[in-house]
Amino acid sequence: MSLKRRTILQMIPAVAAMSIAPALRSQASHHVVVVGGGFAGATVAKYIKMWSAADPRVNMRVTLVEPRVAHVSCIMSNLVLNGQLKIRDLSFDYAALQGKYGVEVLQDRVQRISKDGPEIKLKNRGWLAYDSLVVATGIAFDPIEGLDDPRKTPHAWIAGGQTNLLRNQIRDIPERGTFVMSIPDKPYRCPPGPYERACLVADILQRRGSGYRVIVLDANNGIQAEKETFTRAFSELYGDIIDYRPLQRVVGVDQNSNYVHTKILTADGQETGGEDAVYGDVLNIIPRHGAPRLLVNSGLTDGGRWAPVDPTTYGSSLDRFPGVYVIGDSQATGQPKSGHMANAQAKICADAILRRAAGDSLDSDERLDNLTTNSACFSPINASEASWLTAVFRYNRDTGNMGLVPGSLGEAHNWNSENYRDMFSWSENLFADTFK
Amino acid sequence: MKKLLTPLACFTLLLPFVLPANALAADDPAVNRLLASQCAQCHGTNGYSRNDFESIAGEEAKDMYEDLTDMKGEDRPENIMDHQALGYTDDQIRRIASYYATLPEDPESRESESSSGSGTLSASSSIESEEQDEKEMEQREERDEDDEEDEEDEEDDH
Repeated sequence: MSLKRRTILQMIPAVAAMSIAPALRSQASHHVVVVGGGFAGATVAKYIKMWSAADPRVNMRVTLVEPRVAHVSCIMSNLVLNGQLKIRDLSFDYAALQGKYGVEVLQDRVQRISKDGPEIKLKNRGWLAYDSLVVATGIAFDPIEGLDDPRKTPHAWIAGGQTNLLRNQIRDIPERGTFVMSIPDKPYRCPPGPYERACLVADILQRRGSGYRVIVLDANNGIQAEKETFTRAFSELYGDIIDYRPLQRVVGVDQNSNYVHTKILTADGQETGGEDAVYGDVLNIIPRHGAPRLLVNSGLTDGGRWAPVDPTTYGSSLDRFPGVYVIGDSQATGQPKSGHMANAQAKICADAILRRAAGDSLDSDERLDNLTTNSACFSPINASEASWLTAVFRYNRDTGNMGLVPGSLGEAHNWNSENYRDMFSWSENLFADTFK
Repeated sequence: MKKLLTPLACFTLLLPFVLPANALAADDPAVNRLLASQCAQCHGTNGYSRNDFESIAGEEAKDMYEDLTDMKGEDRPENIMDHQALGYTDDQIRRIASYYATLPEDPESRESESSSGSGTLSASSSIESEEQDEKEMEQREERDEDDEEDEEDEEDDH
């Protein structure tokens, strides 16, 4: 027997083994279509592929549909305003999801979720069928009267070009100028984010000289997150600059005269009949949020502002949407709207989809008693110090909701440089757990 | 004989910190994996951190269990992990600890890491290319807004 022939013969068992391996997987693949490549969508795509690779019973095909080539993280984007970061530092493409995990990425826009069958319509590619559909499209803004050109009055609450526009406007603010920002009715994306932004803008202006003002118009009844920290920062660090005004809802903007029109609210959010008009050299108006039009038009929000879901799977609570899941900021569970939280929900959704594909139970006591999400975030208070906020949520079988675990909610006792350094470690690992 | 002894030996080692009564039944491994995945936002996918935040893959189950239950017992929670630990039952902490103990300490022995280039916070660039990037981004977002209008037209047809 020639060496060559022996070598070939020795290879036969290996080849045979390779051909058997795929046969162990179930014949038909389960096609998951994920709409939106932010923290929620990227995480669910990655985790379904990563976890299914270890389970020979399932054969998961995952397609991520996202109109942009990269996601720009809102997390850390307030540091673009003071020049510490660039948008490119916060931009994450889908190369790792494709190359490392085998997610198929389609650069396209979803126009419609069919009410008649499991398919969605893409702008460029037409209809796409799914076995499971995960909608992870984030937020949309309510219109505000007179606020017609977002390029003149940036919200900068979806990061990207808007963030750069706001940075440039702050850079060009006249001497002793006034910056006016607004905070919408809750729930909004990133509860501490607006207060963090107020601090950072005040820090930028304070370094430039005296006489600058930051007016914060909050539609809510007081500071919504890290209350001790921001109350203290507003008075101790920025008492001469920040003018915080709760219970002021923005109802109109004049983009020519730069006046913001507000209605004054009672403590429970009712209009008192009182009104105010506030002038700003730079306006940063963040409109009220809701689920994007794709969800509203499809009926996934059931006429409401957010999509109702079962938090044990993130499947739509509506019977007419079998196999449709909503994760991240668009869903209605009442957990904080944040990238960290979206990542946490995506993992529960990934587990649920994998169990359904494998025919495993979703409602065992063991699974339901161990469903948790958590939130952790760091807030820069100035250019070198930060605070933090954290909480854990656990599924409550009695209420059918996620509930805050007593004692787990906490905020930093002080802002300091150690927290500031930790903020970069936290965000680096969160970005990698989501996109890499 | 050796094969029989090994699981028994493991079981004996685990006993000192396996206190909750329901822990004696076999865990659903996917439940533990899901629970443990909630640590990954801060500690890295599968517990492999990319920085000075602690990597927790391969940590001894007993050590992690003791660390976390100690944190739960703090009179005055000081840091994020003190509060996080308070979010989990002792049985959940046992599950998380036993999951990470099964992973190798070295991520290279589990999978080869690849980096996708963008998104490192130390990235720097020339002013010219930044301005070009910003211009392109704003043009892209304008196109997206036009797309949104298309979407609305499309919906109106139905």
